Amino acid sequence: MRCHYPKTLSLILLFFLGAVLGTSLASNEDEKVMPPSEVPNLPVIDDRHLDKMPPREPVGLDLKKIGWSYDCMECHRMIDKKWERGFKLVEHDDIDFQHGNNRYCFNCHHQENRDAFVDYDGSEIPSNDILTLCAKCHGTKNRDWEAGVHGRLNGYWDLSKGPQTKLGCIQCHDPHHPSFKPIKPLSPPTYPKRATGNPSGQGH
Amino acid sequence: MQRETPPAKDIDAMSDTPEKLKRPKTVEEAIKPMDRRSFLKGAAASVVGMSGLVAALQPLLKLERGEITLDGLLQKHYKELSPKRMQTILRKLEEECKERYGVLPSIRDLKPAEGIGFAYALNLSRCVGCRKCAHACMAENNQHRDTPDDINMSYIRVLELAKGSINLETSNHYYDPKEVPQKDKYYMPVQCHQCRESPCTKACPVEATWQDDDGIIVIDYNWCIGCRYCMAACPYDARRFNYEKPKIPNEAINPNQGYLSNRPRPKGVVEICTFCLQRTRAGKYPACMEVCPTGARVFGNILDPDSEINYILQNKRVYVLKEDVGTQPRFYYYFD
Repeated sequence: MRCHYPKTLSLILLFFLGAVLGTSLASNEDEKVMPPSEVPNLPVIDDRHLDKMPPREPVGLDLKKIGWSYDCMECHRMIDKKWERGFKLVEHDDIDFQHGNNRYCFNCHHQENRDAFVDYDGSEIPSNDILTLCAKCHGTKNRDWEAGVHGRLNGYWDLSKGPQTKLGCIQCHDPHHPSFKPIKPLSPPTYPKRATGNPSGQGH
Repeated sequence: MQRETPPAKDIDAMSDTPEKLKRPKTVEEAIKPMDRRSFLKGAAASVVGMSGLVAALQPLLKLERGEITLDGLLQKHYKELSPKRMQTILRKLEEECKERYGVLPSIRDLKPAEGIGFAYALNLSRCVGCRKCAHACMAENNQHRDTPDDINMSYIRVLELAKGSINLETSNHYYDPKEVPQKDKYYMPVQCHQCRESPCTKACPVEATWQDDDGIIVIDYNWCIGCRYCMAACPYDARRFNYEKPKIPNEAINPNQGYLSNRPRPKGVVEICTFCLQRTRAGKYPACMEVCPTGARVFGNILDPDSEINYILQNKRVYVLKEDVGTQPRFYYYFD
């Protein structure tokens, strides 16, 4: 004997299909564009969720943050101009001076005017022109920075849509200790519980 | 020996003659009770048929329970959607996000612009392996997380490799020392390479993933069937699968969302790095680049000859990961 169930089932299916198609057609007919939500298009993309703090910002430049004017000559006009390496620093003992072969203060700082930096010919480089100062030695890095590939760019890659910020040398590097200090890495992914071996990747 | 031919009347008896078929059934034949074997056969067939039907009706049952909407069930392929229809879908998705996460987002469907091809470069000499990029990816792209520190669904894996070679087999992305970089190690973040010859899009049986004109590989989460063929095809382990409905703390929802990128995903779909399409198509840098503390990442328009990315391709020693598999990535590593 032939089973009668499939026929019944197909009937049910047909019924459902019909119902679904019917409603879908109906919904297509009176398709209305719903009014845009209260915040339809954020004009400026909010980046509060991203930590864009320049690396040196939280640790360096403390004096500036508390309002120090950086008028170095306030003290230095009273201090002997000459200073040799080996003379123990008193006021600036927080400086951890590790700049490779560049071991002398006056390679960068101007002997007469401590509010400025010094160029190769002894002329002054204004204190806000850090880029020129660093470019004295780091020519290739300066070239890359000018091209926008050394250091970090933030904001808009498409300048027709918005501004771009470029971090300067000392926003990332401590000039007295330019190499980055090691940092604690953020949390890793979890190693699968049921996986064999170990996460060091040495062998299976 | 001559073959015996059966008598003619026997042949008539064996074949179903029209006369026999036309003969009306007797009452006994019509109401004859079913024997046990055919009853069981019929019952088994019915069970199979019923379970098939129930499976086929699952979407309708979900519909009944309100887990999916009729519009969602019958939605056309992304490329066939009219702009008007798209707007309706976007508003609906915004409402759903508001309902589930308590945050009303702005979901946009940004199209690729003409004359733009995105590319990414990463400086292996600079990367220190701090994983800020992987965490920023989580903050930007609304991935599932069990705890605030959980980055298993992040699109970026930072590999730790021994100095001296690029040997992925001995790499480790679970490293967790007190500080990085370790002296004898270097670090290589890996994410979607947006390959020009992308194995993932070729593997997809339903065309739920494809490469847009600006080079970004996207997924329509409403079209993905979750078969994970693309994940098997990807040589960079760039794709992630939603084994459950994404759990995201309400305060961690990023309201700037894209239909093809970081809107909250449904359960059972694959997701992928889109170079933060919701940002980059609006002109901004991707999230991973914005947070990199060493400036190891460079992003831009490869079709613009003056762009930073072209400067790198012209002036630096550039390395393509797994170049031999012929994927032609839009993601480059370089050294300086």
